[in-house]
Order: sequence, then C-alpha cells, then structure tokens
Amino acid sequence: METILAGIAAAFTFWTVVSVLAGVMLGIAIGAIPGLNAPMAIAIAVPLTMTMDPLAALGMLVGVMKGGGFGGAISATLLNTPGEPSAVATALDAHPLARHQKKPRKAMKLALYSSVVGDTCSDITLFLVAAPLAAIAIGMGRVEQTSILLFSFTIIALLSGRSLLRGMIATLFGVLCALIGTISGGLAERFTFGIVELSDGLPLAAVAIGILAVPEVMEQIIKGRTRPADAPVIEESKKPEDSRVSLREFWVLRWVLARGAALGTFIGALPGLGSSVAAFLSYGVTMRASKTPERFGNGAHEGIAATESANSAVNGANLIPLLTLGIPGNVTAALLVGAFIIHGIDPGPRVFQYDAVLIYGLFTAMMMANLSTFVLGNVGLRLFAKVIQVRGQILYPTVLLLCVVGVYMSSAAGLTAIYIMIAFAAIGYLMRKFDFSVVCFIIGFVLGDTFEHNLRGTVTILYRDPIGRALEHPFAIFMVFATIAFVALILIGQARTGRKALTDTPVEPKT
Amino acid sequence: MTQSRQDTIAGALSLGLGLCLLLWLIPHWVEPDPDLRLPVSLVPQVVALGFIVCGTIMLAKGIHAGRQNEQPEGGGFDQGELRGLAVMMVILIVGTLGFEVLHFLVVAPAIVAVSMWVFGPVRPVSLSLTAAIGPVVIWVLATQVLGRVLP
Repeated sequence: METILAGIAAAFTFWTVVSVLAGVMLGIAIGAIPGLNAPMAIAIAVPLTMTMDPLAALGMLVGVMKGGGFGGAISATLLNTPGEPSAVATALDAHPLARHQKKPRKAMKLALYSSVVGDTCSDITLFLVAAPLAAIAIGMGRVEQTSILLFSFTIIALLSGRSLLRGMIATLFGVLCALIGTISGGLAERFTFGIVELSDGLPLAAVAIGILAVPEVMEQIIKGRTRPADAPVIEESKKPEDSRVSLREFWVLRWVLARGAALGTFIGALPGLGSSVAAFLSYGVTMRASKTPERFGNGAHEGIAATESANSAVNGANLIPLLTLGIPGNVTAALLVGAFIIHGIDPGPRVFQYDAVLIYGLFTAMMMANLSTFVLGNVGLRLFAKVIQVRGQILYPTVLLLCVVGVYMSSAAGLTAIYIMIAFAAIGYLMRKFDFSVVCFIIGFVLGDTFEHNLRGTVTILYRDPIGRALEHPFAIFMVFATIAFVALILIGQARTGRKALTDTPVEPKT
Repeated sequence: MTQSRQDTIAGALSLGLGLCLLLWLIPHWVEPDPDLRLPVSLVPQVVALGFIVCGTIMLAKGIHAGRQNEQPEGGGFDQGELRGLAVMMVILIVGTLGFEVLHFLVVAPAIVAVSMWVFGPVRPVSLSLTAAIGPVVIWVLATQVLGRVLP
C-alpha cells in the first residue's frame, strides 16, 4: 500500500503533470491528422523524452497513446478519413451523425466520452491484475519463457498480418536485426561489418522511426496527399442540444460502453490483436444485440460508443502482457519497451520488485491522461478540429525533418543512426507494399535479444536429456501444444473461409 | 502486381536471405566466443533456417497459385511510386551527407524545401516560410529547450 501511495505521489509532480498534458495534446493533434497515428507519434516522441525524468517521460508517452486514440475519431467524424486505423469503425456512425444529422460536435463528444470510459476501465483492470500476474510470472524459468515467447511470436504472426508465413518472415527479420552487435553476456560481434557504431546493436529509435514513421510520411509526400479536395462540408445544427451529449443520452449507452470496454480489455491483453479488431468486434456485437440494427451506419450513438470504448480499452490492457511477461502486445507497447530500456528499467515481472513506485506512478499518470483527454478534448475540440486542415505539403516535410532530428538526438551512433533510419525506411516501405507486418517486425526486434537469451538457456538445460528434462517443465509443454493447436485452428478456419469465399464470389456480381 | 507474383518474389527473397546468412554472413561475420558454452551462431542459424523454410513454402505457394490462375490484384507499386521512393532516399542520403559538412540550419531547410517540391506544386512564399520556420523551431526546441546537440 505504501508503494502505491508513493507511486501516486510521484506522479503528482509538476513536470509529470505537464508532460502528461503535453503528451495528450500532441497525441490528439497527431491522431487527428490522416496518415499520422499514435505509434508514429510515440516513435518520434521517444527520443525527445530521453533527458526527462523516467516517470515524466513515460507519462508523456502514455499521454500520446491515449490522446492519439481519441484524435483518430476527429478526422473519422469530420472527414470520414480516420486518423487511426482503429477509428475506421468509428467513422461508420460518427460521420453520418456529423454530416447528415448536422451534429459534428455531438459525434466528437460522444466519441470522446466513450473513449475515456473505455480507457479508464482498461486502466483499472491493468492496475488490479498486473501485479498478481507478475508475481506468478516471476517464478518462470527460461524454458517456460522461451515457450511463451514462441507462443506470442506465433499468434502475433498469425493475427497481425495477411498470412502466417508473412508474419513469421517479418518476425524472423526483426529477430535477425536484433542479433546485430555484440552478443549479450559475451564479447563476440555479429553482422557488424566492421562498423564500430553497430557494436552496441541497431538503435531502437532509428529502426522504429525508420520502419514506422518515415515510410508513411514518404508515401504521403510521394503521392502528394493533402486534405481531400472533395472533403465534405459539415454544417452544424444551431440547436444547443445537438452540440452536447446529455447525461441521459450517455446513461442509455451504459451497457454498450461496458461491453465495449470489456471486449477491448480482453483483446488488448492478448498479444497481436490490435484496437481495430476490438472496435469492429464491439461494433458487430452491439449491432447484433440491438433491437434496431437498421440505425447502425446512419449515425447511431451506440455505434460510436461501442467502437470508441473498445478501441480505447485496448490501450491499458496492452500493458498487461508487457508488465507481467515482458512481451509487448502491439507496436505501441513495443515502443514503450524502448522507452523503459532507455531509462534503465527492465520491463517484465521484475519491474514490480525493482521499480514498483515508478510503475504505480505510471498507472496514476495513465489515469491522469484519461482525465486530461476528457478535459482537453472538451475544451479544445474546436482547435483540434482545425488541425486536420493543416496542409500536407507543410506538415509532412516538417515531420520528416523531425524524424531525422529525433533519431540523431536519441543515439550515440550520430549520423550512422540516420543512415540506419534511411535503410529501414526503405525496408519498411517495401514491407508495406508486399504486405509484411511491421508490427511483427518491431516485436521481433524488441524481443530478439530476450528470445536469444532464453533460447540459449533452454538449449543448455535440455541439451543432455531433452525429453526427460522437458517433462520437468509441464507449463512449457502446455504452451508448445497450445501454439500448435492455435495455429491448426486458425489455419483450418482460414481454409474454410477461403473455400467459402471462393465458392461465393462468382455468384454475387459486384454492383 | 498479382498476389501470386508477390508471394513468389517475397518467397525468393526470404529463401535468398536464409541461404546468404547460412553460406556467407554467418561464417564471415559472426565471431566465435570460446567463453560461451553454446556457439554464438546458434540463434542466427535458427533464424536462417526459418527464412529458408518460410521462403521455400511461400515461393512454392506463389508458383502454384500462378499456375492455378487465381490472381487477385494485391499490393506492389507502380513505376512513378518507385521513382518517388528513390528520390526521397536520395534527398535523405544527400541531406545526411550534407550534415557532415554543413550546419543543421543550412541543410534542414533544403531537405524541407525539396520534400515540399516533391509533394507537388508549391507557392514560393509558402515554400520559403515553411523551409525557414520549421527547421528553426526544431533547432530551438532541440538545442535550447532540450539542450541537445544537432549536426
């Protein structure tokens, strides 16, 4: 209890509060711009937080994460062009509510409140389950950890990309890149090609910004994307009740919000499944449960509440596998691993032993970020709605320069880090074009070192009597069988769906 | 580009990378460490085998799908996009080389200006203002506020 109170007290320092507020503002602004999203913003923000106090730095990053979640709903509502992939489902009802029913502010406020509710429920779950789960995880040995990593890699590869093979190749490539440099616990160098700067391995910021942010920015520049010329003009109703969400209107949505938050939290806690899956699943379930499903897609309040509560609930829950097993569930969590490491914190179950005050401070900062999103989202709604009007021609070249500066500042490798960023930008661009998941790559890269450490330990343990020794680790055996069963189930499901699609497609002509 | 063609190219690249790792990169660019119980090349070899297995399956899948004539359009990119990517790469590489000899406030505006020009037609005033203001704001933020050194 003392640790929890100390954590809460640590979060209420001037700089932490300012950092959280700045992070939320940055997140909402960037999330609102089509083409930019929260993971990109975090990738760019990580180098900027290097000199900050660890809690203030992490507070800023979770602020960006949470603000970005809501920011995506702004462009989804006003432009029908979601800033975040997870806001695609939000656009289904938020845009018609804004455009056809002339209630843009009501749509954005509904998205904001639902987002904050989802986020808060998820954070409370994280707060309640993380420490007990970490206490269980701490007793796991290397064999168990290796089996968990294999399970995670496999399901991330299966669920994050177009196919298992593509996901596996992307993950392997991430692990390979993590092997560059001096082996941990030894002096031997691998794949450094005589470049001294590579001895410490590839800098995370250069790789993450290179593969996540720069290709997206380059694509926008190459294609000359700007605000769509035919962007709809949104008229606003003059009635005051059309600009706000009454308590009564919101109370009606309580079960939709609860279901969305529960689904989002569950999906967020599983590695590999992102907020888009949560949003669409929640939308589908809510529509099926509704007595008037025909209202969905025409500005139904339930549609907005279901998607926003679910996709925001993924945020906090994503940290459950990270803080209990050291395994990031998605790109955002993987980038947070980088931030943890930069500040000398080893994410994983031991974090509750060695940095408990910081972790409870982080939980407090997350709640603070929810409150900030609520307040800033309400107060600055007009301002954030203007952000989407910034011309791409001005924005993207400046963001590109910010990427270069961020990489240079974050690494001791100096200009070599920028060259690494450029190389990974090209790789990232090609990966997108060939449908390879960058999520798998980043998670493979972040966990590569841990995977090697555990795999080497496992081989050492099992070397002399593989079967006999393996039987001493029933949990690891269970995880291996679970991995095989999971792969089989998904592949059988995909094969059935594929066959069904093949037989169905020619019957229904496209109109 | 058809999906089968994509699979074939991606599979061939993965297979090539795996073979390249096993036959050239691991033997030449992985140093031995006698103090470690297991060879340093253990995990790189596992990764290389993974590339070979996945690459071979994907290559076979691509070739098979190509013969089956089930070829929905997938990703890939056109000639213009490839040219644009090359131009952006050149801008970034030349810019980074420029940082080695010139000050940030000389090179950064040039990077911004050229990127704006690649984006599309731009008014000279807009170009000049963005190329001047953006880098200066970033420079002030990095060096004066965060106390970091820029090239």
